[in-house]
Amino acid sequence: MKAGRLAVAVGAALLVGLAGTAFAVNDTADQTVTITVEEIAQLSASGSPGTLILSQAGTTPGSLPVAATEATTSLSWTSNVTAGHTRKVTAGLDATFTAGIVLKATLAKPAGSNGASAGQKTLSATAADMLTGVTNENCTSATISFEATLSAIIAPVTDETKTLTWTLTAEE
Amino acid sequence: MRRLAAALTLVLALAFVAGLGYEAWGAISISLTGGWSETLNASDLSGGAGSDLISTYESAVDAVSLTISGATGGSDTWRLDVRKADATWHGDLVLSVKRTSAGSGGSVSGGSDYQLVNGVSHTFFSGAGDVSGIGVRLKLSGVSIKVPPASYSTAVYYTVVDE
Repeated sequence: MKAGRLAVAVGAALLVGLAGTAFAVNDTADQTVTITVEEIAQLSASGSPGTLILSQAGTTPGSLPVAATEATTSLSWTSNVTAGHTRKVTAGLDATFTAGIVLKATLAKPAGSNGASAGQKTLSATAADMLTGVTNENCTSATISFEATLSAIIAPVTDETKTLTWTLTAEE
Repeated sequence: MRRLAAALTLVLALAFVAGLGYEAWGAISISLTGGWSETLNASDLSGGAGSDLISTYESAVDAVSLTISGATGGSDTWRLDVRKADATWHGDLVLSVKRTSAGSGGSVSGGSDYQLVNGVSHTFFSGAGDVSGIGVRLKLSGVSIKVPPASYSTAVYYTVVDE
């Protein structure tokens, strides 16, 4: 094949190729989808516990009244945190009981929680850590177990009520 | 030498004709308006404290409006592909799209059921001719409290391919 014909053939083939490419045209448009997940810290108690009564029933002469216990209430919470952070559940009284009355509580670790129960804690006006290491979780029916005792014998007290506040808060 | 010059002239002529042909053929194009952003917070819990986030969210029915133009006529067929490229995304989150209206002008078919959008381009729906105002709705699923607080974004690419 002579040079001229070869050039024509190559040129035509090239054009056909280019045309094929050009005719398979396309165009693209794009949009951005943005999803924002905000921090969530929701906690609720199932209700108030029954009255804890320290009575002479079962009390041995010469000893303090036996402990009163109550475990009919529970906590539920939903929490999410940014990576590397955790929350804790704390409990604090609005005021202390009459000297001699000791109220303790235990918050059990519920199913599905990444946290750890701190065990039994004496409640006071200073919030106590009850369960730590809460991360991204939603939990229900975390049982609260109360125990009331006397540290010393005191005069009878009737219906002494305090408010116990549970808080889901960031850990230090 | 004369033959070579003639050959080159022919090549240039062919190139000119091909160029005219391309111009006459036109180039199909796509444009869009709209978008979608969603903020999830405590109000999206399914039942208050202790419950999980609602798992699925949908955009407005016509959150996105697509317009295809540049078709050579009502019988010039095309297809629309969709894919996404994540900027910051969580592996649990699943994005889907569906076509909610046919727009006006030419014709469209398919795409009326939700289909997954991922990093691989795949056909969303197809059509013919110029069509404006094709409605698209997006759906987010896989949401749970396990997804950490953050802003997640992804770019959704709609590509029209002339067939």
